[in-house]
Amino acid sequence: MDFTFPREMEKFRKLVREFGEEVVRPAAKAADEKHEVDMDVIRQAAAIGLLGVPFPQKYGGVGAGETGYCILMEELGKVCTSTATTIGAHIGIGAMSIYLDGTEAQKQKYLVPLARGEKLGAFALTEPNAGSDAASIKTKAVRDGDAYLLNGSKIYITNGPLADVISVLAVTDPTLGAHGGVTAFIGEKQFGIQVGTVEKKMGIRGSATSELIFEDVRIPAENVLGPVGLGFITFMKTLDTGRLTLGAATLGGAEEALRIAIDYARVREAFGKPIAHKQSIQFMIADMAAEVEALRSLVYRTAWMVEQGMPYTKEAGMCKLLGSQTASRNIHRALQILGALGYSRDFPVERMFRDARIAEIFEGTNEIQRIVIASQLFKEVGIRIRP
Amino acid sequence: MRIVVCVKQLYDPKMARVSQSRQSLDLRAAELIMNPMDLQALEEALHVREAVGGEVTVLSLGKPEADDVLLWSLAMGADAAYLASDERFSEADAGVTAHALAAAIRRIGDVDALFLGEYAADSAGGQMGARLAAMLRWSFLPALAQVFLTDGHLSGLSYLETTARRLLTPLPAVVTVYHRANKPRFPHGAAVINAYREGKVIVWDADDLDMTLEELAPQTLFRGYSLLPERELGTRLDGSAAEMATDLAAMLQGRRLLGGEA
Amino acid sequence: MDFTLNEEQQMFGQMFGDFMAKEVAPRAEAIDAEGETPSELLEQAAMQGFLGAILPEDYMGAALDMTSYTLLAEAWGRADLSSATVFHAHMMTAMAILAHGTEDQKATYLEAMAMGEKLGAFALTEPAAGSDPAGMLTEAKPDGSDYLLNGVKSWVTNAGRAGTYVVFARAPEGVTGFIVDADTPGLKVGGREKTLGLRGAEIRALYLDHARVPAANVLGKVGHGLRVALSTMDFAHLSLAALTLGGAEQALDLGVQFASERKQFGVLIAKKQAIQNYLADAKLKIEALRHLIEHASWLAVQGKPYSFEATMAKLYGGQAIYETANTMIQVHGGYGYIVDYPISRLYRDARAMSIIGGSAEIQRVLVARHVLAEAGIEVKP
Ligand SMILES: Cc1cc2nc3c(=O)[nH]c(=O)nc-3n(C[C@H](O)[C@H](O)[C@H](O)COP(=O)(O)OP(=O)(O)OC[C@H]3O[C@@H](n4cnc5c(N)ncnc54)[C@H](O)[C@@H]3O)c2cc1C
Ligand SMILES: Cc1cc2nc3c(=O)[nH]c(=O)nc-3n(C[C@H](O)[C@H](O)[C@H](O)COP(=O)(O)OP(=O)(O)OC[C@H]3O[C@@H](n4cnc5c(N)ncnc54)[C@H](O)[C@@H]3O)c2cc1C
Repeated sequence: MDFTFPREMEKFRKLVREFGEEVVRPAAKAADEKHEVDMDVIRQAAAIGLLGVPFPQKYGGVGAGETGYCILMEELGKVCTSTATTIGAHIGIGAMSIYLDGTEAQKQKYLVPLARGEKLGAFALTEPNAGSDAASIKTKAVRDGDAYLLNGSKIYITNGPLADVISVLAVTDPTLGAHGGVTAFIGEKQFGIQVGTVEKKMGIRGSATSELIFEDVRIPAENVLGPVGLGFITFMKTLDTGRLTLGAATLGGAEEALRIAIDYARVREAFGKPIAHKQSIQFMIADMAAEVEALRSLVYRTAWMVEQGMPYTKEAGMCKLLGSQTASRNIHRALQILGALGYSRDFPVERMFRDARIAEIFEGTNEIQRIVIASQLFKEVGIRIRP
Repeated sequence: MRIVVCVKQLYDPKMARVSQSRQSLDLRAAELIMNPMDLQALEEALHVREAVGGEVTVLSLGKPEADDVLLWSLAMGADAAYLASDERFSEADAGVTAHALAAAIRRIGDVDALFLGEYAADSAGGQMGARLAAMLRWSFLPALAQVFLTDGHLSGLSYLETTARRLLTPLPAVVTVYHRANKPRFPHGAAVINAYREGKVIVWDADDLDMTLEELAPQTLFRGYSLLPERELGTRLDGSAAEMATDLAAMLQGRRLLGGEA
Repeated sequence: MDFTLNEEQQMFGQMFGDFMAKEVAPRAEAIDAEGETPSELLEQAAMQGFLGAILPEDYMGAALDMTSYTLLAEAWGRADLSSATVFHAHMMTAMAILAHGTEDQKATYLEAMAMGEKLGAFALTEPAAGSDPAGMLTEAKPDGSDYLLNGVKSWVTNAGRAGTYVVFARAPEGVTGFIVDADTPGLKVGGREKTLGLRGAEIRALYLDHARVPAANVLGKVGHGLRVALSTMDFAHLSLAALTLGGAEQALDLGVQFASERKQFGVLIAKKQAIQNYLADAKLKIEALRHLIEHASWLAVQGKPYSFEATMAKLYGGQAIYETANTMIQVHGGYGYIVDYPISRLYRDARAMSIIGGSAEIQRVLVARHVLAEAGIEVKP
């Protein structure tokens, strides 16, 4: 066992941390207030490779693997959850689906510009009546010569208004159901995918979420991602890595909350002494730290499992479940420790509080994570769980 | 065109604390970093290379772990890296360091310009550029920004005094780069990964550099640290200008800092 | 034991609920988005007698008993926590004057407050003294028959809008309460605090720069200001607890509504145990909170001390409303995160309730003090 990071990973962290402090953090507040993605930040991140961190260098990536990607998300999670979300949706689910199941030609055509950050990616699964129950999607893809015609609507798609390349799941054979009848496609915005409602959100307002409308959108057959009919598998596999790295982003948020809480408790005085001297405060901070360390171990061990080629569905679900809870709880506590200042929009905890809440919902709600974890556990003893 | 940039590893002065005994520095919390001024020297050299071509070589003197600043420099875009490292450098003062660096520069060969940071953030000595220029018998341009190279000449704006002056010199030359000359770039992520995975730093010891015993002998002796004495509150003079001038003159004479009579 | 409300209380409860559902709830979204409680809403409330809810009829009040008052606060909290907080801060200011004011003071101030001509604001907190008001720095210097007030009060709900402030400052004899008119020279308000929630409440700092206040405006005895503040807190705790009860009920309603319309995996999500458990736990908290509040208000109606019970209700209410809003967002899935659905506003509003009116940590200190007093152990914050 060796719990240290290789030197190149430590230095990669240094790069991301400096970038986060100098470029991302100062832009976070305004992006939240304007409810707009700061594309200048995304472009600067792209210029130093941060939009292709896990992918091999031959595909235009940084070649930092799953561990490097977790490092990226952790550091971004500290400074701006919106930026982590934009980049996470681009890399972790958008480009990742192509990396996992794309052909060599698809990778050259789509993954390379995505990894280099020349194009932005998105991942379109959710529909009005298919959220947790993703297998119930209704968007249809009908074969038409050397192409498919897609019709339907996807909602709540991160990067929807900005993305150039969109992985989309649609029904190719309604008689076969999710396993056999659903196919993944690589769509391009310029194929005619329209942006519908852009959502106003409680948090991660520096990221963009929208509806995507498909009206006879023609996608060439060569853009089928993975085998026809097996798109559901491609999408679920992709979500596994997404969940791990979402866990890493929440680790960053949880750590930041801890840092802020300690910094404040150290200087804020009540009853003649810094509040750090009160057990109510100390114990909150001790719990925060313990949970952060548990999460850190889980996240990086899971990243290691991915790199070893081990199955990690259960662990990815745990990263997302534990991570989102830890971040929310820690930020909740930090807000409490700051008192009225925690409630004020002049301090970042307020934004962190709104931002953190999404992680318990998207990329599969925490209830769905529990179902995933439980079904893995019961599978081992021969019981099949249905959601 | 070959530019050598000298880079130095040091403890982050922001994190250094005076120890409780007040006799030394507590560096336990301090991280080893690259001298921020050297990052600017490197950035300036990379700029020049991007304009006129050629190569940028980085050079450091330090312990083996100082390869870190060289690898980071490679990630930023330097073409080659050399580390002068030897047990015998452990007591090196500015003189020994200059001898070693000059020897390394001669050994690298064909160097047209040498860039250094304006000063080091820890010692703030700011003498290495001048020493090297003297040893190498090259011209010396201090505190330069907007450095340009044109057929055999180097020019730039010198910020040594309150007003910037444009200076020009034939090559080879030694330049210290003004501490606000530029904003150093972030290296590309892949370049960081590759630089540290490959670890391409060439290490030379004192023998590789043909250093003589004389060159290796420090000229200064380190006795220990002490803090500046606490400053006392000054005296405030009141009254008209004439009264204050008279009072001041009297005070200075009283302390034998001014001749004549009040 | 009798857990029923009397006829009058029932009637009031019904009336409050109807009014709030009709006049306030539909405006909640706009109040949050625009960051303002509209004046005409307060005027309407005044016409109904709400702004003088607990004041005696002599001062044009509605003379509600404490239980009926909590029904009003609950109904308002259920409809909209922002404007309910405006109401709460007003009412506690009036309560302080009612409990500690001289006949003259009551006659001068309470009627205008009950009629809604003057809104109240209670200025205790300072930038460096929140949980520990005894650490306040604002000074009150005697100057002839007046006091000159100097200092900064922070986080004053209704500041800028209020006509009547109760301000606490340090006189030579100790902390003292003052009734300060909004147009007092030397009293200025700061910029609006931008907050996570309760965005329809106007919260600002108060700058006192040689603000001249007549000695006749001292509230209670000189040097007894902390007592004035603390005794007002009994009422404030109960009032806030009732707000949290209403908010938690509203959150649960929203959750139930969503869960009984949303289908996934071919069934209503309400059919899933995970969702049922959230709803069950929320209901449990709501009913426990209701009983704490009813008990405290019953004690108050009996004329008995209710300080400890009100503190517990407020402490528990802050937790209950937050946890309920939090789980009900979860019940909404992605929809809970979109501002078109009111649950996200409730979640933001709810978070204030463990800070405002005394933090949860301080309330635990108070509860622990009571618990340990029986064992003869003194508890200090
Ligand atoms: C800001 C944001 C960004 C998003 N980005 C993307 C994106 O980029 N791409 C994309 O495809 N989607 C995206 N989504 C959609 C997101 O993944 C879904 O919102 C999420 O999967 C939940 O689906 P839902 O909202 O339909 O909730 P529902 O599925 O309706 O869930 C409602 C509630 O029921 C629970 N529930 C459902 N089924 C069960 C069950 N069987 N047992 C127990 N409980 C159950 C849920 O856990 C939840 O509590 C995003 C959403 C948001 C808000
Ligand atoms: C929306 C809102 C409206 C408000 N309206 C008003 C108003 O109208 N009038 C008014 O006067 N004030 C108002 N306040 C201020 C409120 O009363 C204070 O915020 C509260 O009393 C806490 O004080 P503080 O924020 O200074 O936190 P601090 O006192 O600085 O406390 C910081 C942290 O330390 C903890 N702590 C402090 N002392 C101890 C201890 N001894 N033991 C354990 N933990 C401790 C606290 O619980 C908190 O977690 C309002 C606040 C908010 C958020």
